Amino acid sequence: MQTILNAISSAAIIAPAAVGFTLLFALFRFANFAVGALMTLGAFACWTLNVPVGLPLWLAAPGGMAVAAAGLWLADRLAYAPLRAAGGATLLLVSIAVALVVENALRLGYGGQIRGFDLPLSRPWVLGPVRLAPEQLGVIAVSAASVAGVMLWLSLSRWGRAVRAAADDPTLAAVRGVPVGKIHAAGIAGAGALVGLGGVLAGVDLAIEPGLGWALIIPVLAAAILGGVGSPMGAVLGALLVGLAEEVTALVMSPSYKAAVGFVVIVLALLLRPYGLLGRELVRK
Amino acid sequence: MTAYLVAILTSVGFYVVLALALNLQWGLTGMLNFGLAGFYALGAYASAITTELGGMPFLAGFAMAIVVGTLAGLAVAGLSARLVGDFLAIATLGFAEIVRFLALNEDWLTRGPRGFPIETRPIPEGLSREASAWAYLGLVALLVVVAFVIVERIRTAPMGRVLRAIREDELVPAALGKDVFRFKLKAFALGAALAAAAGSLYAHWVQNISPDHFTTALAIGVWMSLIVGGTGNNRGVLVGATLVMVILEGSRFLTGVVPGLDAERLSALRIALIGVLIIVTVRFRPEGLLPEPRIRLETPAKGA
Amino acid sequence: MPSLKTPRFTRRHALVLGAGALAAPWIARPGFAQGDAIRIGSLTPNTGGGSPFGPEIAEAHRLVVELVNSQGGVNGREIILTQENSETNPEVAVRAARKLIDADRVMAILGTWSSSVTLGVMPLCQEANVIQMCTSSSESIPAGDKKGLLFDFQALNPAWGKAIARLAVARGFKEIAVMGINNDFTTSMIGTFQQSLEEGGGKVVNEPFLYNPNQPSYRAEVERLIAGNPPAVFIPSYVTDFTAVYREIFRSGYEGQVITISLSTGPQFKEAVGEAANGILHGFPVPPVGKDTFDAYLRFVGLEPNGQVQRPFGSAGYDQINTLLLGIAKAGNLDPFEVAKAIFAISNAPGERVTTYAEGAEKIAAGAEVNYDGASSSVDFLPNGMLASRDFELYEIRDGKDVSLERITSAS
Repeated sequence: MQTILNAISSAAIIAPAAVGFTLLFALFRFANFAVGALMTLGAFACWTLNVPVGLPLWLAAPGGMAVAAAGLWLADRLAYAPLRAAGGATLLLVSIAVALVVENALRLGYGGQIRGFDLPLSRPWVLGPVRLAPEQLGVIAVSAASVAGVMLWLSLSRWGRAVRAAADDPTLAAVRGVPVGKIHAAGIAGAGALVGLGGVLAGVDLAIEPGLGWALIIPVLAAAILGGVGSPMGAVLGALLVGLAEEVTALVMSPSYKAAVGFVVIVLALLLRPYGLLGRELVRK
Repeated sequence: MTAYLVAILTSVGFYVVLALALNLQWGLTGMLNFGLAGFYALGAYASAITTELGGMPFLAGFAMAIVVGTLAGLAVAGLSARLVGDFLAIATLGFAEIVRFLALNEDWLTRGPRGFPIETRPIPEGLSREASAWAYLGLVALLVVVAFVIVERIRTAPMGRVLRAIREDELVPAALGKDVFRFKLKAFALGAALAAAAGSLYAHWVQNISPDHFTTALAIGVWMSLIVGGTGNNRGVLVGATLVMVILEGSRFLTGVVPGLDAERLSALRIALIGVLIIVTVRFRPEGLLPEPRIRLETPAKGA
Repeated sequence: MPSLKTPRFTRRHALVLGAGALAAPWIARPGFAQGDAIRIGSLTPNTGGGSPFGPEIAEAHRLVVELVNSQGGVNGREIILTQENSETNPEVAVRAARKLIDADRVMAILGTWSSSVTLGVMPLCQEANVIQMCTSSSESIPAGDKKGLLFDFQALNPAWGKAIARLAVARGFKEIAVMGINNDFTTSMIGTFQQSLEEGGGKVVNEPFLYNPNQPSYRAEVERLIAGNPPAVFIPSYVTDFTAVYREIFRSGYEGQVITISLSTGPQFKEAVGEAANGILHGFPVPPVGKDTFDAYLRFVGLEPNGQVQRPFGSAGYDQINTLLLGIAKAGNLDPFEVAKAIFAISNAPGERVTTYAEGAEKIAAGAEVNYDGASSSVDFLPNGMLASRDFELYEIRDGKDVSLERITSAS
């Protein structure tokens, strides 16, 4: 029972970023490796607002999300947009370069030492056979709310539906008068905010330092691929399954094998079911 | 100073072999292999285990490295041949990280993070330090020449044309009756074998390997060599690899020259600049310094 | 048709860039002493896992060299110090070492911190007969030094394990669960910890295990560690993962004693975790706080002694450069084997106690034997180049500060 709760906690950090990643993939047709570094950017921005500036965490977090979205927009403007015509492979490589730049810009600005939010550690509530720390509940709640919010937006709001249309078939959407440029901007804003949120949630548990992104990008990738790139629901499902796989592996085998789970999931998913559990084949170059 | 330059050239040599292997896989055939470091590592460890734990001479280790590399290449390509573009990249990245993970955790075999000391060397014992360095450079140069010849031959041979066609659009050669799967398999496995061979030579050169030697940063450096030098062009690869190594090592001499930045910040600046360089190159000169040479089609003689 | 707007990065640009990078060494260096100078390399972890400690080691090397040069050098020879960053990565360190050895022609490389880096550059140094001085703790180190050219200023892992176990037993903890980070120094530490614990009448509960760093969560690892609610847990780790692990332990409700090594609990950790850090026990090989040599070192680098351990590794760097220079002074030449022998002679008894280069050089010139007493330890070497002993200190974190509980001197 505790294992399942732990899996949900781990998934909660990964899910928003995975949804953001998969949205970006759907809209722009490439795997954006810079998502990890952007999560780190969100975490650092939130920390800066929280600790030196002194805002409480619930105020600093949206700041972090906004900075991450801005970073994503900047990267798109400078690096990705001019290369829209290039294949997914080139963009993947460029996204790695962007990740290097973002991570080292953070290192340049903040140095390599670790930081933590101004958030006191607390003891858990014991609810029968399971333990749940208040921060864990907070993280799960925020994560679930944000992801649910995004999915509702995608299905119900006009803009959200337009984003989905553009993601499914950009040419058709353009023909029907959907303003693709604005859609892209909306997608970037939304995905960037989700990714930034992921960074903030990660900062609650982990040490905030410039290299944080590399530890996070693998589970995010695994979740998005497992769930099926292009499907937000799939990303959430993927995050849960990856979290569960990690917990079970640590339980059944030695915990040192936990780190391999993400990679193994990625490799197996790609080999056996490239479009994941809930994805469909997207039109690509 | 000469010994240092000899060592640099030797490092460049390894880069070049890796870049040639990647050129075969990606530049020519369009298979995005982000896991190159994995094959490099496999070759290194296979060779080390064979000579140090198995007590066999260097050549046995070298041969074992090639065998392991080829088998691994066949396996990875066989399983993932259906994948395209970035999916393949991610799958191969996963493979490389799994290799690194195994090297780190199965330390009963690989000595894990502590490092695997290697005594066996492919050069005669008792040579002076200078002579050893030159001898090793000679060996590496030999490997570079062999690799270059192999990859160039393939590029200009009919196989090369098929691989290029596969890179552009798999359906065309398939429609023409070519067994696309087998071609991809061969190209990928050959590239993997080259990388593994380089790994074996590398291991016996540094004489102490650990998973930290085979990071994704290395793979990115090899990528840069290809992109900067010219994807698909083997000569370009030589230029690109040399240039990348010059930048990486040359910038070391800049510490202390740039005021106001401590070593940590300077290191971060260096890496950030490399990232910027990749983006700029891809954006403004995607074909690299030496673009792929166009194969002249034979024009029928007039009047024929 | 090439666009007129976007600048083209041509072959020419690349050649200029490449030539510039290659020429940089000759342009950047204004000119260096030839011939008789003493060339020393300083290879420290200024970035990466060792980055909290590299800069203080490099600083100690630099300041002593400046001082000795201003006093006339060693036997009238100038010392040229070249500093490089190992990035706490053996692959990078090896390339840096090659430059130091072949381009800068150093006779010694000081300052390597991580065991994997020290072991990584060892084949190169052994081949080139270059003296190595490090602060690494892996047991594999003495075995790799076949020429007697390596001096280790840090206690080896078995000593750490032993010391921490004894201190734990002394505090009354007999049942301890163990989990360590998977890197180059924990496995042997855990082995001796277990052994010493058992010798002291205690035992390790559950199977000790290793975990990998750089993970998004450590819940599963912590679950396993605290299964059965052991009275105490021992977690050798680094600060980045320990921060996340400790948060997990706290949030899981574990109320037993947490024991770790002091590498994980520096000021950054305390700041990140806040009040919850109180109560943690941690131990570390330490310089002799309060001793005149350590205080003198602190003042030398511009700090005031305050009863706490400051610059744990910088003091070792200080001792490294001092003993090397004294060894050179005594040997009278730069032959690495003579210098190495001389280093043993000046660090060990018999001899008059000296604590700085100037003091020692004077006595050596007068023909006397000296025994260098260091800022990081008494700097007495076993024949294999390892320290004969080093102090260990056990602390408890109270009110956000490290309060010293006990200090022992542990034989290597």
